[in-house]
Amino acid sequence: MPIPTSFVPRRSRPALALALTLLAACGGGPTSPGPAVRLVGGPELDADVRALAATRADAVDGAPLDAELRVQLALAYEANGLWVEAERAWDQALHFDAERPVWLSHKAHALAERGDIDAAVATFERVVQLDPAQDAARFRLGMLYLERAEDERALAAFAEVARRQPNAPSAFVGQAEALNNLERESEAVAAAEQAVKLEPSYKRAHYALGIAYRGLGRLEEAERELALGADSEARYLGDSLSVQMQASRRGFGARVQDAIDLVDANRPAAAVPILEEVLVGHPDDRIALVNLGVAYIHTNRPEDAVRVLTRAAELDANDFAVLINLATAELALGRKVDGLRHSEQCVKAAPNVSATYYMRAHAYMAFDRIAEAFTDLKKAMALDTGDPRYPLEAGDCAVALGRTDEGIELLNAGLRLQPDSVPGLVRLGSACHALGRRAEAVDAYRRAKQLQPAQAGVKELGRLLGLE
Amino acid sequence: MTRTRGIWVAAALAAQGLLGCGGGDAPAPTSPSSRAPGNAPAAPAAQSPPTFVEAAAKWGVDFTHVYAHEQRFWFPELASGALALFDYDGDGDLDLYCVQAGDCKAGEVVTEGNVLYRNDGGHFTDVTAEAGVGDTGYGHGVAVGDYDNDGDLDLYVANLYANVLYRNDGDGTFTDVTAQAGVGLDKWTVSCGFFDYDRDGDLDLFAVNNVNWSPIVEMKCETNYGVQDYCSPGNYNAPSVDTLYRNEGDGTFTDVTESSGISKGTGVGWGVAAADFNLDGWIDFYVTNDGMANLLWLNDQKGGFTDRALLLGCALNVNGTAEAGMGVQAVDVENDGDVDLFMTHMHNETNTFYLNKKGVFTDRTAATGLGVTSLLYTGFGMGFHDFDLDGELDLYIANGRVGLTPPHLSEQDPYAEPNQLYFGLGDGKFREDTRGPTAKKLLGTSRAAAFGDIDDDGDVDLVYMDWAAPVKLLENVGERRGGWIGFRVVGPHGSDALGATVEVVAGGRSQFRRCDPCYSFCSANDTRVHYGLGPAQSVEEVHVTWPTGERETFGPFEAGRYHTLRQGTGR
Repeated sequence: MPIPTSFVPRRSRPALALALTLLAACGGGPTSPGPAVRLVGGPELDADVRALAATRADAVDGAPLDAELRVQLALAYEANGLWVEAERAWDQALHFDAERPVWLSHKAHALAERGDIDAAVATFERVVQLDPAQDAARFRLGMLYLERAEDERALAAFAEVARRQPNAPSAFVGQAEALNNLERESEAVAAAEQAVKLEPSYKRAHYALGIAYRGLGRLEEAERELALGADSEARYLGDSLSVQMQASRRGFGARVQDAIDLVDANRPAAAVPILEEVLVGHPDDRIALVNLGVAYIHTNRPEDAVRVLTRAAELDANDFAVLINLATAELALGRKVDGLRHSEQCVKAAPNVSATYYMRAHAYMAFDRIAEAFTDLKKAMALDTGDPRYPLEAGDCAVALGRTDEGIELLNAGLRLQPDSVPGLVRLGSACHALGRRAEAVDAYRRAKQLQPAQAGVKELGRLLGLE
Repeated sequence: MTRTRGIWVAAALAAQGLLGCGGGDAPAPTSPSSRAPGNAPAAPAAQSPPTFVEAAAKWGVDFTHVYAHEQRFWFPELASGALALFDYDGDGDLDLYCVQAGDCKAGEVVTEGNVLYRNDGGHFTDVTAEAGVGDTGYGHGVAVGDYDNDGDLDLYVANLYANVLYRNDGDGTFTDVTAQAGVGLDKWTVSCGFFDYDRDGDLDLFAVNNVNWSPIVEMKCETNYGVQDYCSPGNYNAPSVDTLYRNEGDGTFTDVTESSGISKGTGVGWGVAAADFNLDGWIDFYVTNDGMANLLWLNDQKGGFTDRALLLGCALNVNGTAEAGMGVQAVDVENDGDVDLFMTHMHNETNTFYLNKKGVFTDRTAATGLGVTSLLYTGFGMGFHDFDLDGELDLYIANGRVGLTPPHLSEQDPYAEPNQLYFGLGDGKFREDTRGPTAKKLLGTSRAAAFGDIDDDGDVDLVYMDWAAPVKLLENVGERRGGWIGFRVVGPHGSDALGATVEVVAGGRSQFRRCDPCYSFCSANDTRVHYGLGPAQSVEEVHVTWPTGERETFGPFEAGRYHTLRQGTGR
């Protein structure tokens, strides 16, 4: 894609404002781009989204020459994924300042989201021509270059973002991905390692590093990094409108999804007020109740969790997701009998779901019924071989039952799925030490120490092995 | 599949490592995407008419898919039904088998049953009753293969509940031999296929199982806009283990899922492809999972399998993300002798192409041109064929949504999308024919698609199944940009040699195809191998690598017709 050549020097905003004022004073002021963009979606749209769009559109029609109101309307559409309307609304905003970089950038995003990649690329290119400091736009441009296999251009875009934002790991990951595509794996290793250094838990960085290692034939390291990078998600850089846009998210479902995403990102405390607010309008929504219960569990508020989950159970007593979380909260409160009862109901309700056995195993553990817990963890493993918690905890149980060899095997299986599990490594090291398998114990210790050198279990293992 | 919100399960009491605080990145925007079709890339310069014309009625195909009598938003409704194109009566032309779903309320299936159409040369005749193949399960998949080595193609039907094996008796009738064969798997099976993984000369059976589903695990899911919709498979927390049956050669099968190691991998599978991915002469299996890592089962040549998808680069896309794997094909797009992988995914994900280099896969979707043009749609059935006979593989993709995302493209069906046709440009690159596959725009929620030369005129036609709609038959009427040749490859028993690789050398150039009916989505396809020849006038020679590992050379051959290559008669 050639860079557009119709470059127009950017006018400074004060000068533009003055020009507009003068024009208005002379009777030749800015014209309206037309009536506000209204929703074209069908009746499936959430009432809150409709209300927001209608309010902001009404405001636009009330002051058709107010560019800021057009921006707010565009953000409402963009924040709620209504890309057709968003693109049109950004066009209207741009009517007032056709070269405002951040507005153009958002229009480009809408273009990309609704599938017009060529136009999106051209628009992002224009944005970074107008304002080289638009890192968010340049980053998205790099991502689009990658999608179009324009790897050299992608590399240049990410390198520029990294130069300007040396603490942004995603810029280094972008470089690594472009370099991998260009089969320049040694350079990709360096870029990905920089990203990992900036953010050790950044999955996409690990995955890019794994691909680079594999290209270099370093298969053992590759396998470890690829496992650490599995299930990564895309991320983008924010810009000056990101906060306003996020505040424009509406809709019951969207808010619940936001809350789920926050819990997934280990920010459950931020999810709680969202769900509490959602439930004000929908007090008997089981999905919101369950998710709030989960958020409470993750914020160490098991009593509150039991309260909302009990309400959810009243709405559907056989819902295994309600039961499993209720049992979790009860066990956290030390209500072992209730926890076991609900976990047993849970297994009965969903005998093909691995998590139900996992839950009951924890209830058994609360009663020190380790053999039964072990059996349930093995059942969970058989139903879902991809969850590292099952073999790791089954390994623990096996060790506790005196079946240390089997325990080591299980712990190793779990660590293959989750190589960065420090508790798993510590348990493995201890089990190997108990059997006199010092080399394996030391290896587990070193891996754990590399990940979390100050963790108490790691230090204890080090002392056990005479290494600390 | 859908990214609708649903109930999820707390991490219980497990100790999970906390995520780091990160550097300077802002969190990713969490906008629900509702991409609308935009200005797609330019169409091929060809001035010719579109490639296909819809001709189901002309052919007498009147099958209509039913997913439920009352929409309950139960997960199995979403992608039910299946199609097979195969020559059941041995008369040389393709017959059509349509697998019906129906209604699955609380375990009781109510359905009109499957339908077999016999190809009578330009017209299909419903012969279900006389053939005895009108299974009344809630159908999801179908496989064809001559499991008993008697020279005709048998049928395996995958259902939500018990599966069914129909033995072809060679006289136009079939017998249900499920019980005696021991393959009445009572799991929710979707795609399945016959392959000789142990190289003992008979066909084994691989069955992909989806969610460990029963009505009790159903839950209510909603879109981000608050309306009820289908759940994502992840909502069920119930991945499943696939099933491998070993053919004992006496009409029975043994379930070797456990002993082979296949039980060590779980997923939410939709598609399966079998091929010798690492070029060691033995069949491996690749399973596409929905929202979970795909599985690549490498054959250890002793009856065991190990999943190596992650290390070998085909478990996750280039970003390390598990995609919603649906249809899949093992196909040598670059004609370099190894088997690449292509699979369809949901909207906002690209369909993905994994290039195979010496057994290591690299996600090269962007370089093929198949990526950005697929972001808008949710792909299911698919097939690479040289539809315009120019010597380059083209690609047809059957699309249909799994979630209610605005804007809707059809007033009748909110899940409907257009299907797509791509023309091969050579060097592994493709360009979408933005005119669409047909002159008359067809919108539907497409799922299964089966490919083959239905009218025996030397080009590849197809059938596909739309959700709650009549089956479509697309006859290839496109411009021919070269000659063609086709082969039926048969083993010593006269059966199609499933798994054979056939290298055609024409005009000094090699093209590789595989005798493999198992690709696309929940479909079985023409077992014949078909080649467009472009400017080449004849075929110099043909090299066949048989499933048993032997290699033979045949030819030269005259173009413009089908030939039979019989194992043991080459040089």
